[in-house]
Amino acid sequence: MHDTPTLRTVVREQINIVARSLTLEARVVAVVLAIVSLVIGVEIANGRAGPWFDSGEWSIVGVVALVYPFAVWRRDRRFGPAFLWTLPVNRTHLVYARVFAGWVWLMAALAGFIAWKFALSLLSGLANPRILSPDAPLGVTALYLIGSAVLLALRHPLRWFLGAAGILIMLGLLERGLAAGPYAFQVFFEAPQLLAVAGRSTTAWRQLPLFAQSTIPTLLMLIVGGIALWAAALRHGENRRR
Amino acid sequence: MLELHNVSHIYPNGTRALNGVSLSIPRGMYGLLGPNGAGKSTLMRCIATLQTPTEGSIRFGTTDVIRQPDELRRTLGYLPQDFGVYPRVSAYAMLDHLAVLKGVHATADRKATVESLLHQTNLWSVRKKALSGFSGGMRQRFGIAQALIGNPELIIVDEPTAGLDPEERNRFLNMLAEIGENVVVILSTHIVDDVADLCPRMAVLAEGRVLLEGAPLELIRATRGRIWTKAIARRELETLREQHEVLSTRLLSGRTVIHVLADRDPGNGFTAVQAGLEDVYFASLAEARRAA
Repeated sequence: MHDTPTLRTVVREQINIVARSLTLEARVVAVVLAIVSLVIGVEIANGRAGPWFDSGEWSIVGVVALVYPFAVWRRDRRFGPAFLWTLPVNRTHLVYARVFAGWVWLMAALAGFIAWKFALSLLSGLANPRILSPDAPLGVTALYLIGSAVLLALRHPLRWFLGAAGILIMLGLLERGLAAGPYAFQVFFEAPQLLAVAGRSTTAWRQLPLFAQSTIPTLLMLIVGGIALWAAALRHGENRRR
Repeated sequence: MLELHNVSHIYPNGTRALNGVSLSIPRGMYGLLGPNGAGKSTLMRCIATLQTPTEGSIRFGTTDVIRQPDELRRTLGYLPQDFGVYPRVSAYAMLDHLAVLKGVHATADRKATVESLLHQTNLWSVRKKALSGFSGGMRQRFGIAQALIGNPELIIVDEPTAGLDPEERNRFLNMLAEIGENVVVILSTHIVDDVADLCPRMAVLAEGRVLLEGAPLELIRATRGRIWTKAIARRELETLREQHEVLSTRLLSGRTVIHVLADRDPGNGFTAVQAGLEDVYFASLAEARRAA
């Protein structure tokens, strides 16, 4: 009779197997970074490297963190009678262990990315290169948790993503179509009461220290991501007739 | 012994996949035959703790499979039709990973288990190759290797020979026969020959119900004197279908040879024939159709 593996063993195994299953993605990222390094190297030689070090790429890093769970769970049957559920491992533990394993490698990749930019910035000789916002790991973690929660909660997450994007585009078109008429969104958003509330909130917000202005929304996102993941993981628990 | 009592399963869309299935499955190879959509895979998944039947009970020894799924998983080896996990991982790494998750903790034990299974399934030479590069036969052999990790007492193999060439199939069936000497092995398939070659006991499942259960030789004996054969011209087939219960047709030297089910000599040139398991299987399906 098999023993039941401990949670620690399951986590260690997930870290190991997720790394092995992401080798292709790691190679693609390495090739992209090599090409970008070459381009930046040429810019450094020409003395035009400044724009590469203004932290503008963090939006790309955020999108990567959001869609990265798709790579972590690729080819896994997340719903229905998945083969892995016949193993003597608690289903919910397996889900959390996999998410954690993905996060470990995401943080490793982030650290590698920062080290890469730091090395290039040293080569560029710039006085104050902006490489990392201090709460970047938290922000990346929050987006990864939200991405994982979406993937684990929905059977067809891509359809939901595309549907949400479609609705946003339609709303944009609607707004353009309504222009400045009485039903335009602008009329709602520029209502005097709303503007007054928004103004007061903005003033209060700006009085907070710069660090807090960035950290508070990040922490809120992190909490939302954590709760969303917990709720999504509930779908993967053992569901037995008692 | 695996005991199923009055197992029924209705999917949320209202499809009744299993309808009061009761079986006693002893140690050894047990064949579960049935056409596509008969409910075989649903039954396999219920036994493998992947689905909870809406009614009935399943016991394996002293374990209540429905209430204690974790207990069963500790003794279970399952080869599903498809286990699409980590295609880029090598066979060795994947087996090692699954061995850890099945509770083979000690590194030396695990190494010995994985290497022995790779040799046993003839995959040693491709142990470093990614699973995505495996042929159908190699995948099936890998599937049986992972199912055997940790010496399971209950092994479930779902349509294992589909897509295998004759040599691969033969090798695979020999392997199953060796394994089946000491544990319960349930072989779910729609290939009659697989069951005829391997299983001392079997059941036929159709539309979620057990139509027939027993030892293949006994079942064949019970059909004695009811199967009749005749070589015909192709154009006669439709007429004969209207007159008789045609079980099977096959081509032999350019002629069509048909087998029909009849309690008495149908005359018209038909001769009695020694029934095979295929005749038994088709006869049970025909009788079920007639009863419906």
